[in-house]
Amino acid sequence: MAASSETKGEGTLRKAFGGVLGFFILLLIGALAFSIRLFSVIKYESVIHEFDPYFNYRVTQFLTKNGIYDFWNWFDDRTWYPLGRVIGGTVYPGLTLTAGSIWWLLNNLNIPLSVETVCVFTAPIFSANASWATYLLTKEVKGTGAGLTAAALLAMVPSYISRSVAGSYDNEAVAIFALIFTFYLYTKTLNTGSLFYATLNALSYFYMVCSWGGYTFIINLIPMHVLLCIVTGRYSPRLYIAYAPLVVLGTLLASLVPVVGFNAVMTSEHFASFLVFIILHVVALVYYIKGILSPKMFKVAMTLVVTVGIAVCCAVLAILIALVASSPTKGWSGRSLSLLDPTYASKYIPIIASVSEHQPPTWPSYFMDINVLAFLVPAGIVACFLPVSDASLFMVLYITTSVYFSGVMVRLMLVLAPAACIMSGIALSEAFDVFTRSIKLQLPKLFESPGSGDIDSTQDEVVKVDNKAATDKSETAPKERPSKKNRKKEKEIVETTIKKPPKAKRLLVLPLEASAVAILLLIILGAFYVVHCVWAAAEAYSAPSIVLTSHSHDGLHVFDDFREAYAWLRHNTDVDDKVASWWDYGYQTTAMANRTVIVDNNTWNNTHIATVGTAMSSPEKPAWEIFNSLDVKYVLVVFGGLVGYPSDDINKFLWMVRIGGGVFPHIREPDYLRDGQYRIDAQATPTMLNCLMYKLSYYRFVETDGKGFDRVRRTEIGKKHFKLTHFEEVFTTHHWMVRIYKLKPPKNRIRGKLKKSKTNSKTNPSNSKRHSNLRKNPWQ
Amino acid sequence: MIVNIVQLTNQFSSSVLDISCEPQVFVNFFATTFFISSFYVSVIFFSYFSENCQCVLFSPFSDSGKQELIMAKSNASDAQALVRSLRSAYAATPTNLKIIDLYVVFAIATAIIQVVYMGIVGSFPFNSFLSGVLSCVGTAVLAVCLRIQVNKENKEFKDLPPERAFADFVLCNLVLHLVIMNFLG
Repeated sequence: MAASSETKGEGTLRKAFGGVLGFFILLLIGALAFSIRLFSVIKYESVIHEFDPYFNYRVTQFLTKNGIYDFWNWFDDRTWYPLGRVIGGTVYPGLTLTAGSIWWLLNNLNIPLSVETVCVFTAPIFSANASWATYLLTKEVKGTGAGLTAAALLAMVPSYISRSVAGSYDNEAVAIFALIFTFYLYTKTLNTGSLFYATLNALSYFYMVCSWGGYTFIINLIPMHVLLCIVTGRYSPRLYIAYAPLVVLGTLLASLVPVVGFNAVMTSEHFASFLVFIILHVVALVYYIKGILSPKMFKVAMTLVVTVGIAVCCAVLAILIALVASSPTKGWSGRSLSLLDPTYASKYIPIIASVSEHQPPTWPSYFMDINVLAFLVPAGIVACFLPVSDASLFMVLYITTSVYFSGVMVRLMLVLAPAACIMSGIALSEAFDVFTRSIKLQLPKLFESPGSGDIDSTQDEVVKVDNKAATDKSETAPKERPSKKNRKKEKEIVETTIKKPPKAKRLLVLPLEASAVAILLLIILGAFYVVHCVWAAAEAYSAPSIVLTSHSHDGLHVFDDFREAYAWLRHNTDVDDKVASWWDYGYQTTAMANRTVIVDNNTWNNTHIATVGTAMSSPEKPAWEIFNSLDVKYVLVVFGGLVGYPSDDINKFLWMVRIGGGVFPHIREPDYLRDGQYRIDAQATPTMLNCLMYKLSYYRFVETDGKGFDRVRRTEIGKKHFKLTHFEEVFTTHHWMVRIYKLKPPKNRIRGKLKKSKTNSKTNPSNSKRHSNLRKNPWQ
Repeated sequence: MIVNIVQLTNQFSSSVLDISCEPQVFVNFFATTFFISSFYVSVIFFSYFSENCQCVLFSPFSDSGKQELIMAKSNASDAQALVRSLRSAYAATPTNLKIIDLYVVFAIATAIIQVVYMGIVGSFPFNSFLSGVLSCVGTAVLAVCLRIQVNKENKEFKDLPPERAFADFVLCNLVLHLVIMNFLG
């Protein structure tokens, strides 16, 4: 608005200045997004985090070593023994290909970085890209000012930091960028109606399909938006250009990705897009005929087209229902169903429910993950409706659906975060716009009237600084509206301001003091957000979870037990030995210890996992038989009772029982519970005290402190002194967090007393020697 | 205009070649060659006599289906008036748009033939069926987009030069057919 009153030359100069300033702000935002994620490298070290990233790292190593064609055809025989796994056809290749090509490019530029370094820093680089994409998307929706604010908010939103700190080398790291960028290109196409952007949109959608299973969110959200536009009478040719090529090209491109393949046309997740595709064509035809006919004739044609359209829709619906009924997956896949019906997973698929990130979130986690944005989002939604456009309607739809999905699964909080940032960015920028404008209009009056000057002088300085920034924003804001519709709106606004300037101004002007205070409060709010984000990045989300630390009164303790155990496996076992553990540790074992595992984090075969769960919850002898039938040499358990590490195998044990019992009915959950309570003290059930997991976890545990006090469960264990007959302990790490057992070979049939004592005396010295080494308790 | 036609036919022949790569869809190929020859004939015919016989050429493609339905549904005088006004309204559209319309109709007809063929023979090499049909649907959709953009009556695209629209169209087609070639196996 201010630009219209100024002369043209001055206006372009200021515009150029605003553009340069905006560019540097964006650069700084990118640097911020990158550097705030480096706490994990500074506080710990440059390592890959957690579980899934290890698998991705291993795949990337394979890709860089063997090339792309071997990667597509890779059959991995080191996991899911005896079945193996076809990696090339079952993995979303986007992340690995991205990191692999970055590595390849750097190496060709003679910058010799290791694959691990590239993998560690992929996520921070892509979060900088994501914040730039957010700027572009918000600019399409509400102008540059809102774009910059939203980008700054996204650069440090804790929810996104939790998945993209340096070392967190997971699909989500690149997928969020792809998601936002696809949405940006969609709204850009919607605003310009250019086929070029539609092509780019399809390609960006392809990248999204490559990188994450969450692409179904896009292919359902965009049709929903199209449908909403049609229903609210906002159909335009631009909508057709934005949507119809995307469906055709997107479907074809999605079927190029091996893990999706024909699912792109066979599963129900994608049917919504085809249905809307057909509806859109019917609507487009109606609008076309309306355009070329006179209104009276159109009425006649309307009845015809409506009847034909309904008939076609009925036919298509019938075909779709038939397809759904006959499709190989019987409609929706488990994860999607658990999205629509939040109780579905816990009822039917324990293996989905057992993953903590698939649980519904608690209220504090909203505050933890998006902080003050949660309060700004409603204001942003209101601001989106003030002049409603196709793009702002899209954002409203995006935030509504993502709020719902984040309520179903903690993991999908990640999808909510960009939407919340954009909404809050819009809200903040609109608020600043109103406040600074009202200050700007009242400042001249202030200087004219004498007495009040000295009172507000300190405030004025603050206000002036804000004013400067805000004028930049407000001037650059309304310049990017290429489409005719928006331009018309702008003209209208300009006209109204010209026609009746005093009225329009008075509507938006707030009292000077009130707006100054409001600006101060908003700045304080922003400061709180920044402080919280830095704290979250530094303290809460940077732990790599393979190296643990704890602060106590006598200083910092580092628990590096996992890598100790995997290194032991790597150096002391045969290359072809099979290691059994619960599936959480499968990826790490293959990547770090390079040993064959039975099950891993890619939970594609429920029966196989149930077999391991059954073995863990059986008594020693049947467990030995199960493991022996799987050719297992070593069993690995994670035990946190000594140092108080809560996510150990005993705490996960009930899920093993449930998953095992789901396939093998002789494992029954009530057998392990005393009056519905899960306990491991003297009150525990005999089944619990005799199962393999209990024995492997607590074997010789009483020797540490003489009582067998478990620091996680905060009780003394129920059964303290026992011996293992079919397993022998071969390695226990420094803090007892990982314990490795070897399956004893089957005993000889000869049961002579002499022989038994002989073998005992032979094995004992070496054993006791090792035991005496292990018996040292670090805490005493 | 001539360049337009050449480009369009190039696009066509590329899509036909894609389909013919797979031996199992040879019948598709024959159907398409038949159609492409008819397309050539009609385009040549049209470009020579476009001034004289627009309605004759286009009425069978665009109106006949509707005509029958109208006969069945509403009373005859209304329907006749509607058809007449439709025809007169359509006669007023510029020639280049009519060419695009023909192209769209042709692509849809090819897609329908392939679907019918699939219904008779079965969808065994599913990727070739899918790429054949989606190639036709895709070209139709892109041509509709082009038509929207070069239509002078669409006020929204007044500042978009038709050359730019056509360049975008060619680019999009290029991507589409590269993908299809890849997907065909």
